[in-house]
Amino acid sequence: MIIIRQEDFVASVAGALQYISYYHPVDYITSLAAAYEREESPAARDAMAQILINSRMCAEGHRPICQDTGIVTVFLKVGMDVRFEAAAGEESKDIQTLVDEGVRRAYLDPDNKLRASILADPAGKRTNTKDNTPACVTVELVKGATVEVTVAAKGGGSEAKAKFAMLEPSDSIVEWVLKTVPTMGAGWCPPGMLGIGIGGTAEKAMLLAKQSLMDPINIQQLQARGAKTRAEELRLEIYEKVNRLGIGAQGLGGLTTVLDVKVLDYPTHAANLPVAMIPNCAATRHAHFVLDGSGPVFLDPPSLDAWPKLTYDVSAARRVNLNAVTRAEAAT
Amino acid sequence: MLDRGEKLPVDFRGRFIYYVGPVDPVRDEVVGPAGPTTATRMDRFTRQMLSETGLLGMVGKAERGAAAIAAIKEFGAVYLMAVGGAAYLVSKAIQGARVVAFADLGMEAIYEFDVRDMPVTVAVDSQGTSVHQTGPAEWQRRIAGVPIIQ
Repeated sequence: MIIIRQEDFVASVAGALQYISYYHPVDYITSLAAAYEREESPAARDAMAQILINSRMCAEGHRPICQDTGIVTVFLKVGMDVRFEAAAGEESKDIQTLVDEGVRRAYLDPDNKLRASILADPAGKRTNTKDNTPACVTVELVKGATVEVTVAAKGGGSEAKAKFAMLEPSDSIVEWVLKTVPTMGAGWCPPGMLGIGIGGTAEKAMLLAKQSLMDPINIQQLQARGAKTRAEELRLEIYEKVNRLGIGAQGLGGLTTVLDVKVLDYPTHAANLPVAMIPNCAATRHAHFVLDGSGPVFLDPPSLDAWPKLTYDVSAARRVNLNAVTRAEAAT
Repeated sequence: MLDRGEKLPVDFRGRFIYYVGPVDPVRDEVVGPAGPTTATRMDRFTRQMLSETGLLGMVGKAERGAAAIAAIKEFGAVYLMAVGGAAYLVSKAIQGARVVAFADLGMEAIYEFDVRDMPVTVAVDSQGTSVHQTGPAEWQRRIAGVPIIQ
């Protein structure tokens, strides 16, 4: 039995949310920088350059990568030998309340205030909750004496493009993906990742799709070693074929639409083939840490050496004064 | 409000709308990170805005649908796109910001921004040509003609 203090959990969640608001995962930056180098479409290349420069500015300035600082999504694997404990004089709280305390603390941090994007009464008044709570929390009880925490801050633009289909068992998943991705347009802010969940039930497939996006980008390693499972075969095939669609960064047309494709699967009913697909935008924000009772966990800042040193060149652009522009000028 | 015949709190004549929900500023910032949000969501309001308010153009991200493109062409308007995910970079182009209406909506309030050298690309021109149609179509053909680069 180990004891995790409520305050350690809250502080760790808050710290991770601040961290992911301004630090891109290094695997994303490395992958995007490589895609930028090989991109041939000038418009897509320019968009990637802006994303990379923006990312470095945010890492240095500790300000959010994207104005949409996301809806907080937390996956917890709580060891069955763990007990949460309140400090003297503090009340005992449930896990949702503890996560939300971390969210509130992170989003209202005066040094790096994040955007409150959550609206209560979604089908009615849609009133802003002002502190970005509540988070969407998924808890698994597992063997062991640690609490594994994955926090993500999911952007609304990419979440808006989530898809689900109950295919027939003889349908082609690849065909469904290739038919569906073009309908998602550019609002999910490619280049990013596709998370695909296959099997289980309707809600299980959606959860798998979201969870798959928490893994680091490693399609190049998979290409090098070759697929060992059906899920890995699908990753490689979908990655190649989606990039052949030519959608490109920001939907401007180009060589790279996805930097990785993730697939998680789970046994399903003989009559069903549920498939869920959730894209992750360019601001892919997630972090992972483990609490073992020894105190809060704060992630180490990444080395900025991974960020390419680019400067934004506007010399080829045309400067327009929007305060004086006329309809006739706008037509040119 | 327009449907109810009410006057809008903001004069849009000859103006551009930037679709954005900015982060609040800290320290000496004019505004926090302020990249574009998806303009496609506004398609159903575009014809009315262009025909009834004198709006000249829009800035956002992602593609516009057929009805919005037709309205842009009809009214000689223009749609510009900024890069989603480049919010802090884009916010540096904003030299002035003030809330002009619906302050209670927080990030969904209407702001007036003064911008300088904000990086944007024409995504639907006044003739109704959409880069989100021409770009991917061109690159799909190019990719089909060349081996995929790993």
